[in-house]
Parts: sequence; C-alpha cells; structure tokens
Amino acid sequence: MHKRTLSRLVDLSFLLPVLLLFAVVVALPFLEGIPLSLTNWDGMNAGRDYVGMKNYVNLLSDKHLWSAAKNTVVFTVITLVGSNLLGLGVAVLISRTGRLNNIVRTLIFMPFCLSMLLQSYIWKYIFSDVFYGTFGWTNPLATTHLVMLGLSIICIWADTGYCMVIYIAALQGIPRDYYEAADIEGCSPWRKFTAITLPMLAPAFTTNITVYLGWGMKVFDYPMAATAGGPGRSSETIAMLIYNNLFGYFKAGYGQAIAIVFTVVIFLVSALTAFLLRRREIEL
Amino acid sequence: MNPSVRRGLCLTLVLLLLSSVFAGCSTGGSNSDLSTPSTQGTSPSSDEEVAIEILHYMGEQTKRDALDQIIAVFEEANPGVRVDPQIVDVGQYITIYKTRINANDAPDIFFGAPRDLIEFIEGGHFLDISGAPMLDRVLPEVLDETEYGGKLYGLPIDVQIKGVFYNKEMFQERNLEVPATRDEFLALCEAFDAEGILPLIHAYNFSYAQYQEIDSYMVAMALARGEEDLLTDSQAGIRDLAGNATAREAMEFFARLVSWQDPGDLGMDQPTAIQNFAVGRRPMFINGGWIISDASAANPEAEFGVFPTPWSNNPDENKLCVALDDAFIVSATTNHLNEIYALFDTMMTDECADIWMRETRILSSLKGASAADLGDPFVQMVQEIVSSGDIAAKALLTDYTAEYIDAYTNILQSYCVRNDGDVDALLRELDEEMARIRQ
Repeated sequence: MHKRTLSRLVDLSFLLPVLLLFAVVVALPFLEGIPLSLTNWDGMNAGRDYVGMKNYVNLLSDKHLWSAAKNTVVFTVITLVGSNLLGLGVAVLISRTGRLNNIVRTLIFMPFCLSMLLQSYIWKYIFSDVFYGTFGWTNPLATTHLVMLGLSIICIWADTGYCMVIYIAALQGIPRDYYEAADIEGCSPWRKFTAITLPMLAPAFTTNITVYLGWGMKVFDYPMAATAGGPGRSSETIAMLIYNNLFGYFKAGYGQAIAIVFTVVIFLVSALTAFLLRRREIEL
Repeated sequence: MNPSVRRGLCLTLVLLLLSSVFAGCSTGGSNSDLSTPSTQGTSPSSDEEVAIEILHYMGEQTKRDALDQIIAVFEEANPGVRVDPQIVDVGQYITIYKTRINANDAPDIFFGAPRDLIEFIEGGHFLDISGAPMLDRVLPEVLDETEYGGKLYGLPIDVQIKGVFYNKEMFQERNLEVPATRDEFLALCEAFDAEGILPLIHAYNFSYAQYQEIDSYMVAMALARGEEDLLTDSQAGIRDLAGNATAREAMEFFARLVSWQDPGDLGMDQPTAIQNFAVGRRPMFINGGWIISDASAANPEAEFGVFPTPWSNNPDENKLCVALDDAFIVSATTNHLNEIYALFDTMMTDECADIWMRETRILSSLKGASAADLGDPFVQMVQEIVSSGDIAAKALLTDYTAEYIDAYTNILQSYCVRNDGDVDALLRELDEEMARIRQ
C-alpha cells in the first residue's frame, strides 16, 4: 500500500471511535425513530398501528408546533446575539492579564458552572421576589409576551462567561504587531477594532455562533425549570413539545415525527451557518 | 519517537478504545437479559430479604415523614421485608413511570390517581386489587375513585378535601362570619377588597392552582345539575363546553375569583402562596387540605378553617369536595404481592391512621379512624363533615386525562394572565383545543 494512503487510513482510524459513538448514540436512534414516527404508538404499550404520513401532515396544522417554533427562534436569536455581544464586550475590556481582570473573569464565568436548573430557580426568585416584590417591576416569567425574554436573560447571564472565554483566547492570539503598525498609521481605536480585532476574531465567531445556535434551538432546561412552558403554553419550545408528546401526552409516534423534522432542521441550519461563517473566515 | 513506532502505538490505543466501546455494548446486552419482566407471584425464598420499592411524588415533608413512620411499623412487624420509598418530581412522574416500565424496571408500587393514569391501566401495567381484603376498611368516598372498568387499582391512604381555607383570626378581627351562599361569599371578598386586602391568594405560577380552585366547587355543581359526565363528554367530543350551562356557570364563577388578583400571583408558586397565606397576607386560599400542614408549620400560632366553596345561593348545594389525593398502586410485574398486601394491611390499621393524621393533618381513609384523640380541631372538623355525608365526592365527576388535562390547565392559566372576564372566549378555546387533541 502506498505510504501516503496508509498514513491517511491511520489518520482516519482516529475518527472511528467517535464515529461509532455517533452512530450508536445519534444515527441509529434517529433511523430507528423514522418507522416509529409513522405509527400511533403511545410510547409505552405494545400496540401500534401504521398511520403512514398522518403525523407529518398533522405537524403542518398544529398551532402549538408553530408557536413552539416561534418561541425557540426568539430564544435562539436573543441569546445568540446577547451572549455574544456581552461576551465580546467583556472580553475586550478584560482581555489583558491582571489580578483584577482574573477576578472579574472568574465572577463572570461562575454562573456558567451552575446547573441550568439552579440558574432557572435563582432567576425565578429574582424575577418574582426582587423584580416584582421589591421594585414592583413586571415579572417577565409571568407574562405571556415577555416570558421568552425572561428566559433569554437567564441564559445570557449564565452563558456570557463561556463566550467571554472563547473571545479572550482569540484576542490574546492576535499578534501585537498589527496594532503597533496601526498606531504608526494613526488609526483610531474604533478603526483598529473593526479592521484588526473583528476580522481576527472570525474563527471565534464561527465557534460561538454555531454553538449558541445549537444550544438555543434545542433549549429545554430553562423553560422546563423556570416556567414549565407557561404561562399557558407561551414558553413551550420545540424540545419541550417533543418531550410532552413523547411522555405526558402518550403520543410517541407524533412526538417522534416532530423530533425527526426538528433534527433535520437543526442539522441543516447548523451546517449552513458553519459553512457560511467558515467561508467568511477565508474572505477575511 | 520513531514515526512508525508512534503510529503503531496510536493504532494500539485506537484498538483498545474500540474494544472498550464494544465491551460496553456487550455489557448492555447482558443487562437487558437480566431485566426481563418477572412473573407475578413467584416470591423469593423465606431466608432472602425482600425489598419493596415505592415510587411516589409526595412533595410535602410531613407526608414523607408519616410514610417513613408507617414503613418503620411495618418493617418491625415483618422482619426480612424492606420498603424503599423513592421520591420523584411531581411534574415528571408520568415520564419516570413510563421510562421505568419501558426499561422493564417497574417499581413494586406506583403512586397516583388511577383515573389519571388510565393509559397505564389499559396497558396492563397496574394490578387489579379488587379482592384485596384491606380494601373493605377504606372509606368508599375515596376508594371509588380508584375504580376503572369495574376494577379497583389502588389503596388510598387519606381523604382530601377541597374548599376555601381561611385564616380564622382575620375573620374574627373583622367580625366576619363564614359565608353560606354565593352572594355572601362575594360580599365578603368585596369587603376585604375595600380594605385594600385581596381576599384570595392564588398560586397561579403552578398550573394546577386554577384547576384546584375550579375543582373545589365544580364537583358539587356538576352533581347538583346532574352533569356527572361534563368533562368526559367534553373529552370524547360528545358535548362541547360552550353550549353547556353548568360549564358556563363554573367558568363565570372562576372568572370572578380570578378578578381578585395581584399581577405577582402569576409568578407565585404553591409553597410561597402557602407561606403568604400562613402569615396572613390574605385571608382565604381555595385549594386542597394538603396546604394545612405546611401552613401550620410556617405559622404555628395561626388557626385555619375551611368551608365549601359557595358557588350557589342555595346553601344546601354548597358541599365540600372530598377527593382521593393519591393512592398506592401495585405494579403488574411485582414479585412481592403478598408483602405488598401486608404493607397495605399495616397502612389500614388504627396505629398507622393515627400516624398519618398526626403528621399530615389529613384525614385517614380508614373507616372508623378517629381524629378525636389527636387534639387537632382541623382534622376533627374535616372528619365531622365527611361523616355527615354532606359532601361532594370527586369520584362521581371523572376528570380529563393525559393531553386533555394538560390543555385544560394551560388554558385556565392563560386565562388568568388575560383576566378579561371573557368567559365565551375561554369556553370556545377549551372546546377548540379538545377537538384538536381528538384529531
């Protein structure tokens, strides 16, 4: 065998464990779920009838699906933009190593280390007892039109630290020479930020945006712990809708159909976003 | 390191990793063999310790303490039998039950209201215990609620009441009498409201809070109007709610209750509401008897009373709702039926009834259990009401189930956010949602 081919095969072999795990944990259940999505299985009992594409057709007219999709998109957009803007802003301010900066970084990163459940309970208390109880402000988690914003605030508070760490690592990797050259040219700080910092942060943007897109689209914990999808169903997300159908509503076939469509959508959106961002990295 | 040696080492590591993955799969296979459902009635030999697992969702500490004491009594009398109570979150118990059943790992005893779990009954996962001897000692008002298809599926341990719980001191300070009619009740609420005190506390962050408010009077209302099939007909699509006078009357009264609301109530969960009620922030709380032990713990000095939610101007129609809280349900796959029956038998003794009533301040389901010696006026009062027979038994009004009950509670919660008094829209929304689910 050609030496180069052998080398490639060896390289490829390193991927095998991960591919196998992916196949067992993700791909196989996904494929096994397809036949289930064509039945009226209740998720527990043995009997199930083949219903063809009925579950998929019902998806189109399910107002709760569209409502959950809207909630999921709203949450994803707000948290993606909010966490990245705040994370970047903080990273720029405290990217230099120093005792105070280290303390601030630790404090900002700390919420990320808490469980989502705990994060939700902390903010549930803050919104009800501090926001409303002390200041008389509206509790966003108790209003149908503000609840997704309330949940997004919890997520942004928790995840800004993660964004910050990625951006700080990227900022510290930018050679100082570029800024020195820009100083000699008489560039303003804003010009240096837009012409040097932002383009050099492109790989970090790719990472953070792709990750937050995925996290946002499959969000489950925050609404489950903080609002249980309420008030009413105003904060139900797609992941919660799937969960409710699979378990509480005894409509596993229908829940599986939503899960199949949802998985495909997440895959397409994530792949497209990553592709566009990587292409943009090359252009920059 | 030589590149070929390095490559060889890497390959070896990869192979080791792969083999560990396959080893993991292999172990899983053998586990699944072990977890094959067992055959009922094959009890272990006498020298083995038998462990009975109870999966329950009793959130109240007082109930858990009482259960632990009952288990201690049972274990002392039955050496070699151990009872392991496991608590699960009340919001997730159906998921956990399903997961355990699907994994062939069902507990010996489930917990819940059998009629809320008919999918489990129809799937054959719960055992019919109609012939169990201790059931003869259970009050029929709650035992009937464990019936489905002519069979009994649970042992109720207590009798719950639903009505208007009130702070006696707040009433006495204002020389207010317990209202007997709807008009008196509304006037009482207006009187508190005029003082700047909202009359009712609402735990509207908890989606079942609205359900409990309605349930406290809807049972009596439906029975008085001969509408026992109100909810089952709505679920089956036989009749809609918008065209039903009883449903309209129930929702109009509900809308009136909701109108005395603070915006903060929508963010208030049940434990906070109980605390606020206990310390006298508001005088009344429409809910179930389970709130009393926690309210008393929060304010031991306070005295609480209860009266039937007065939905009617005919005092005779206003009856206290008596309901099964939850029951212990036997798994169809248990190996330990004899031991479970022995445990149930222990639960239905005077000793354990006393333990339950003393710890939880909830009336025991044991026939003839006396609350007189407990020195607890609240439990005594409940017992007198139940003994008088002047009650509305929830067993006679079957609830919505599964997705229907979820839709019902969600729509009621959404109404509380709107709080616009538009009962027509509320009834229409309920009918449309029930129809959508039926599709």
